[in-house]
Amino acid sequence: MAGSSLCAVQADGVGYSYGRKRVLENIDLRLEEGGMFCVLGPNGSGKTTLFKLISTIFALQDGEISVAGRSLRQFPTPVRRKIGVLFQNPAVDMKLTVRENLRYHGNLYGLETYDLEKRINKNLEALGVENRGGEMVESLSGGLRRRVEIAKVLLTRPSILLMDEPTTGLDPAIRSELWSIISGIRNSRKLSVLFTTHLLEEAEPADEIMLLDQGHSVASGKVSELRSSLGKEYVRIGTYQPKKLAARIRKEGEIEVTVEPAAVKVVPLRGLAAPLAIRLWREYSKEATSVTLCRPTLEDLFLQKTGRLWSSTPGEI
Amino acid sequence: MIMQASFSLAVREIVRFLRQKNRVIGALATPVIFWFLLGSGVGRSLASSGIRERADYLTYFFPGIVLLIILFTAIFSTVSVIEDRREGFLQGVLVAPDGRSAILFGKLIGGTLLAVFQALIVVLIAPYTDYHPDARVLMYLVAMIALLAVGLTALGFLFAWPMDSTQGFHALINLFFVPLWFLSGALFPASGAAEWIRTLMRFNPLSYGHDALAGLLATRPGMPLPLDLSHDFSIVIASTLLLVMACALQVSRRS
Repeated sequence: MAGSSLCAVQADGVGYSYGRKRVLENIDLRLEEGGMFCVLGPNGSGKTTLFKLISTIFALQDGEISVAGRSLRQFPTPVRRKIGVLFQNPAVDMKLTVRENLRYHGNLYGLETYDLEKRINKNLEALGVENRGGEMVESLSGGLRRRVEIAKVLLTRPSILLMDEPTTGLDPAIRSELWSIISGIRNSRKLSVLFTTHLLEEAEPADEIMLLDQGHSVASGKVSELRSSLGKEYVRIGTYQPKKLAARIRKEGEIEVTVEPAAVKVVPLRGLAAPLAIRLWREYSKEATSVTLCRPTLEDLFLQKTGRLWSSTPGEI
Repeated sequence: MIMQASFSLAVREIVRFLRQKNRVIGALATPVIFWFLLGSGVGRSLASSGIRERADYLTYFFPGIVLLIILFTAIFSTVSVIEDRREGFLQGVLVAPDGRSAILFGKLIGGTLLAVFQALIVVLIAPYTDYHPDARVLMYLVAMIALLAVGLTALGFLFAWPMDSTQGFHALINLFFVPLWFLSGALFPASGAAEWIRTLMRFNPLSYGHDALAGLLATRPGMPLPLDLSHDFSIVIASTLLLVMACALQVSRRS
């Protein structure tokens, strides 16, 4: 397990408790070298605890984790040289300038002055903040602070990038911008990336995901495989009276009908969903506010595995 | 690498300190004002009751004020441990290869340098009291001030490390650190105190620090050094080492 050269991060049977409260149970995951792995889960699912274990902040209690082929239990210090860690709350000093933050970080890793200055210039340029070097971090916007932090983390040229909810607190436009930066860096530096998120759409680009709920892994694998395991396309009809409409639609036969809040989900048991959508629209256009042809989503996966809607889980505070 | 990281974090402490002008003014001015007002007020009261003259008490109180400056600066510098944790900076350090040692030594070096620097500025006004330290005495003074600063920074670090509230830390300062200073001989000599107070003062390492500072400041040029200086140094060194070891043990423990 620990010696696999193709595995950037591997966790086997990881468990963790805060006192008597069990927050992680029997977690397995495997991030391939150069791959992108997402730990997806609602708030309070145990993502950050798992992240703190992998990033060596917490000591392992149960199970094993290896990073870059080395056991965290035995070799936490060499592992730390291989990882770059981006936390949920920016780990930058607001009272220092951008350049000072990077300089202190480089010194923390023992980089020599000449090399460090070269790397600082290169990273600031790569992240588009080369003109902000002399500004106090506290004067920058949330998006720019994140860029500074990425520039800082990449100074030590890690082979594995760990990110805990990296877009928390950012607006959608900045989120999207940040993901395209991360994607560019990942490709140019051949980085393996492991990140956590509670946003379903952020998990989509990952090669593999693990769906975490209440400390348990409820599903894991490639996004496309997980989707196809849910079955085929279906139709979602928006309505103000879902129960009443569902009762009427059930009479159609050869379909599976589920009542959702302000909607009815209709899965064809035979044939395709597209003709069914057209037929349902024609027949129920008075009761329906919308008719949508849907592909199974990660939200559906969560519903199937936990019996709860993703939207019913605690939101971001 | 640990030294580079530690010095870098120590420089950060100093840069942050100097950028917060209120902190600089507060750290320097508070003890001096405290010394002047309390020294003058208490001295005059004592003088009116025929016990002691005002100038004498200001002189007596002076080493205690040097000690208070070291205490304030060293302890307050460790508040940054709590701020670093709350603001997220600390977690970035903890995932660095030698981050835990670096943060400890960085805080110790930074806190010590700040405390020594500020205490020495106040020592510069010693000639305006009744003290006239020469170069030899200054050397010993710097050594004792540095030792006390390391020890007190370590003590502050020890309490600050597990805390997540600066308000809680300030409460602790009033509850624990200030009484520690009261019982060091800074305000009153042990000789005239009640027996139980004398016992507490005997077990307080700061008493020996205060004793060394007072003895050294009272040493006039050409006079021999105080007899109990090596005893005072031994106790302060031993206490400082114990505190630093306790800090090292504490930071090495992961959750």
